[in-house]
Amino acid sequence: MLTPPLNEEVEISIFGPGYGECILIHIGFNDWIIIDSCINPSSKEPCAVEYLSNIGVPLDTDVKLIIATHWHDDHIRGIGKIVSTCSNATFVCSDGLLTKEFVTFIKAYGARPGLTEGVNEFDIVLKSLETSHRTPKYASAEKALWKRNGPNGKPPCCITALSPADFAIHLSKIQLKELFPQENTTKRDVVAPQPNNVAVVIWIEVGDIYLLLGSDLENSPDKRHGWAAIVDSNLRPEGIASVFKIPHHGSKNADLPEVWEKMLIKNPLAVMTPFSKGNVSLPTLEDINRIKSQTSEGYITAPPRVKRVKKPKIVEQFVKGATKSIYQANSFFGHARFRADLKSLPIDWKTELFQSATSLNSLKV
Amino acid sequence: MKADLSGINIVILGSFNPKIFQPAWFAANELIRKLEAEEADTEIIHNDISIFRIGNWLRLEVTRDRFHASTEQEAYFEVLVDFVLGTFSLLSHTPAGILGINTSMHYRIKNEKLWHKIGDKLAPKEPWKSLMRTPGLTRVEMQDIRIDGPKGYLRVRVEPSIRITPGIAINTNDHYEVDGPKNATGCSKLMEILNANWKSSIYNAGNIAKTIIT
Amino acid sequence: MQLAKSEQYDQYDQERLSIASDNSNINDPEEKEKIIPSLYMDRKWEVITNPDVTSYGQVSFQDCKFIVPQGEASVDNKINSTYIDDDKFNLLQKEIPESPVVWYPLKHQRTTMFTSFIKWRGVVLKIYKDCFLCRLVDQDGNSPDEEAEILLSEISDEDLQLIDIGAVFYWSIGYQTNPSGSRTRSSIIRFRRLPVWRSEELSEAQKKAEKTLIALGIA
Repeated sequence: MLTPPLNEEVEISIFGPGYGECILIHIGFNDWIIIDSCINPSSKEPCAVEYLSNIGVPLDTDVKLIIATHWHDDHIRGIGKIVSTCSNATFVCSDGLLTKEFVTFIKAYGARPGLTEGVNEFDIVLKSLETSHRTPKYASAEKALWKRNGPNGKPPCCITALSPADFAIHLSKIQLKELFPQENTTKRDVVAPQPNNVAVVIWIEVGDIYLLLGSDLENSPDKRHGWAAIVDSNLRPEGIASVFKIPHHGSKNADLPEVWEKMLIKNPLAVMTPFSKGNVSLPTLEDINRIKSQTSEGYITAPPRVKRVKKPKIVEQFVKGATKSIYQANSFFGHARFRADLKSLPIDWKTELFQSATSLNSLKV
Repeated sequence: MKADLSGINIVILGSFNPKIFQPAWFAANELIRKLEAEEADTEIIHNDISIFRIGNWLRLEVTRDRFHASTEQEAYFEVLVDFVLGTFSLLSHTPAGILGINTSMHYRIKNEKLWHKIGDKLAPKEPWKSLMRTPGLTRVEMQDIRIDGPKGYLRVRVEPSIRITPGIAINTNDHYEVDGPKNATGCSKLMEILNANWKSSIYNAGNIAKTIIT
Repeated sequence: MQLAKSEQYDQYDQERLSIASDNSNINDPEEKEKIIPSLYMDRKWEVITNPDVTSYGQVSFQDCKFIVPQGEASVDNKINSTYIDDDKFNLLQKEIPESPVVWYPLKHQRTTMFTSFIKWRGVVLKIYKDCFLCRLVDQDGNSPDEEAEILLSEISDEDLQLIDIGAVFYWSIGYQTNPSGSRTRSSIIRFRRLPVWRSEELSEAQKKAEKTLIALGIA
């Protein structure tokens, strides 16, 4: 596990859940991309920092891009530490986030004694960027975020954002405005609004390998945003991906058959993280079967629902009396890693599963 | 390793007007429940000193230069910190430059032999045996100066518990200084320190106690 | 016969010490030397203005100072050596009010104690008719996060009005020991009470935001 990829190897590592997920991409020749962040429940460290350090990757030089596809702590826990540790990486977030109103919102919550949940990570990111004089980059539909033109024998690489669409940016501004603190209103924690209108879908081309990372983007009846807007766009990069990070934990709301038909190869390598909220857990059995019908190479970083760990009798007695239901929120933690040689065609992905990660075919549901 | 009995108290030194610290004022500012204010057990409200208890979880004592809030209920540690943060968020211009986050933990020890063993570890009896007939530890106190972060120190006092027998009482005084008492202007900085450090202070106190007891 | 002022102070001091001490007989000259300050009254009071003392039992006022004898650093948490370990931290040397309070020694009062088995920090995620969905985070980090639908009937009347999306509460389950020593199982849910957002806070946040955006090269 603790060996770094070879120069000519592409690696995709997905970690989760830890409330949210983290994706690491090695695009060859010691160039790394980090997308979102989560905390390893055992070590309490950001997975990205821990994993890259363990395989000997110098974080201050080799990480080129850090992309936050969310702004709420639940989905980017530890990203502050990543940004400050990867001191030469460009930070990317959704367009429409770094407005004066949003940053005021961040600063208001970040500064108040007694309120630290919800946007603290983003405040840490901003402080780190300020200290290191780095200007963030914005992601929006069809915008190129990073390019490597292939000097010194390195294969060319292009990273493009496929969302958020202009209309989604507009919706997110309205959504965020409702969260801004108003004078004489009670202080509360910030709960992440749904859906995530600032989800950043990423398209990566490196050599002949294409990757589609679906973030949390869901479908929308309004074709001005959501997956339909991406599929229908005539400006999106050409190519069909062999790896698909399934969006929104495999939920039906984020599934569009046209994505499988037009943007992915037949039987792509598909991976996702599970999610739990109250009695809702994703992916459902229906979702798993649907995905299995599209690919035999489906993977998940941990089983969707695990049995709740019982507490001492005195605790269970009170919990039983005080609640209608109680569920464990986080599944076990896992890491799925896929590596392929850039030079060998057809592309042959080598799969490795760590901790609770498993294939959908092996999943007992 | 949880203490059998534990409490925390927060002490702030500055310049206060004790008379305003009344249950009704806290309830009016929604820092405590209205019913709690009505049922408060008030000992004195005076220009120079105010003392009252709220419910069974808070004791507040304020004099002109000292604010002291305490609880002996673990369930209310966070509530106490919120209470103090909330109070001085409203009174942000109160000059206050010194903060103490103090914990008090009492541990039951299995038997007297073990109890003596802990005392002997901290202060061996041997050197005293030539000077005293039956030497015994009554209290030991250690201090560590803080080298990073806000100026201050940590003091730890260990002594036999008067609440549990045989038992050990471990008290910690986590002391922070922002300004000298006469120079303090406002208390926002102190509240930031409280907010940032109270959890780790209590956690560290627990670790210290665990090291001493085991 | 009115005593001379210095004699009045001495008498007051003696009377005060006799209240304070655990086992002294003030009239016994030998015993006087052995007065041991009570555990519960470590402060030493120094009279600095004219007392109007008839006896310590009456409502009479004297100026007082918080002074610890040189070399003694008390860490008693009733006092909190936070400030009495050094004379230079004696705040009121020049600002003693004109009408101080006579301090009566108080016996340490036992209070209700609570020892928890588990303590969660909860955040309200959704509100239903008879319950609310919340996320529970174990404050000791011993168990994974959980999500529960807590019945509204478990919440005190005054706290009900604090329930809103994002509202934070603490839920502790454990044993409560009351002052008489009896122990009961207990579950305490209490919502956080924080002051409302003030215009100064929001203005301050706005200024910080402007500064940040300029520094980031955005504004």
